[in-house]
Amino acid sequence: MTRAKYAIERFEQAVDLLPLRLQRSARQMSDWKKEQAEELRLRVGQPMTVLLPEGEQFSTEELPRITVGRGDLEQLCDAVTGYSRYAAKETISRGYITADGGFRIGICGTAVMRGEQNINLKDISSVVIRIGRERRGVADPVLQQVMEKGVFPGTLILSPPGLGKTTLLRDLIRLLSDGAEERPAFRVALVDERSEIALMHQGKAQMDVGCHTDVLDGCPKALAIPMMLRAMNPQIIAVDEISLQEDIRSVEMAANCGVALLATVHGSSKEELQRKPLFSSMLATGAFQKCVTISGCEGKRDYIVEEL
Amino acid sequence: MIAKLAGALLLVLGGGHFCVERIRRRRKEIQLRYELAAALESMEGMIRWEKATLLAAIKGQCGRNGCGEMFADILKLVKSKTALQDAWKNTFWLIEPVRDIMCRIELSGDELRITGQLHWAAQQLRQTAEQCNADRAESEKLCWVICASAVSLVTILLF
Repeated sequence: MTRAKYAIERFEQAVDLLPLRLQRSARQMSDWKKEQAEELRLRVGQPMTVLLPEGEQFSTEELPRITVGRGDLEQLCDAVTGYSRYAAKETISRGYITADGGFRIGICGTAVMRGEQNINLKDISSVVIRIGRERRGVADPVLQQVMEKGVFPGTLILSPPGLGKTTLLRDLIRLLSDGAEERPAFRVALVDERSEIALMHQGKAQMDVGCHTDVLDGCPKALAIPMMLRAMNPQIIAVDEISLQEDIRSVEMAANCGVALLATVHGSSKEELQRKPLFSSMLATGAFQKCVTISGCEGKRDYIVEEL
Repeated sequence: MIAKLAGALLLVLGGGHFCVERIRRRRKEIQLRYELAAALESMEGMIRWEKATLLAAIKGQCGRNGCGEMFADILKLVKSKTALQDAWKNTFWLIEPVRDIMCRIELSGDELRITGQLHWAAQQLRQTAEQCNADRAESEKLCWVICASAVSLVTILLF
């Protein structure tokens, strides 16, 4: 299947999640827009919009535009959760649900607090359907530069938001897990704290993360990394978005056990990372030997591999 | 004489068939109540222990003999974008013996509320099934007695 066809197919699958009365305007979009669409955004009282690389636009030019009703968002959440919000309580309290097909749906509404904890969201006011797409092969040139004589060193992926850290991470995991003629297959333990990488749905990964990958979904990294070390005998542990002190302690523990790490961090350069106290202490642990910095604009990406 | 005998035979056969069908229907209704009770209890268990979604719990009942098709019909309606509560009510509204109980189940709220509803409905179904079972034995005896009396009367009238 061509990349364009795959992208449009993913868009159509995302549209299937919408209430019937909103599907028509989404399907009327041009194939080019469907291919480029990154998100579908629904806000109560406003027409539905689509996020394209050049910005947010209305899904249809036809007037009058249908506005999104509160019932539409409730219906969407009901359908996605199988009419069982109790089953998605943990993720709803964190502001998202994962739909069949691997679509992450962000939810905004009124928080229901118990003490200092948000336990639920009510009166849903806006929803964003992220149209996640795999990009197989994007990590090929990166992995060739990172690997050293068949050994995978601890690697950090660095980029500002929105430049495809997670997409690159996912493809790297897949390549490492599947192996190839010129490199072995590794046992990869994926700690998918925010359910953005494998997009697990009812125990099944909706994205291809390789055939030797074990996924622990929805668990904080600080808890998950020791669990994986004890239980799954990994050769590589992959995590997304290191941002807390306790994450770094767990990363250090894994490195001390001889497990290679693959992680992402927000930042635009190695130098910027070294200036931040939290990350400079992480780099000092020696858990990471290489750094992949992503830069780019208007859909083009550059991957720079450096020693740390 | 032959005509009278033929007529009598037809009457007896007709009456007997009516009684047999009535007994069979009653037994089927009782069986259906037990099956639905078991299905609801299974749904309750799946939700309580596995935090299964309602749709998954309903799908888990589709393979049951007797009532599996009803749950499959509900899923078909939901797939065609009917809300679950409507699909549930529309499906069970057509099944007269269990309509009152099944249509009173509210499939909304947290898992405590939903499992409470399922538990209540399963209990109601079992209670009514047991009641019908107790009545059934008496009612079947009465049926056979009436049949035997009718055959005797016809015999007396003929001969």
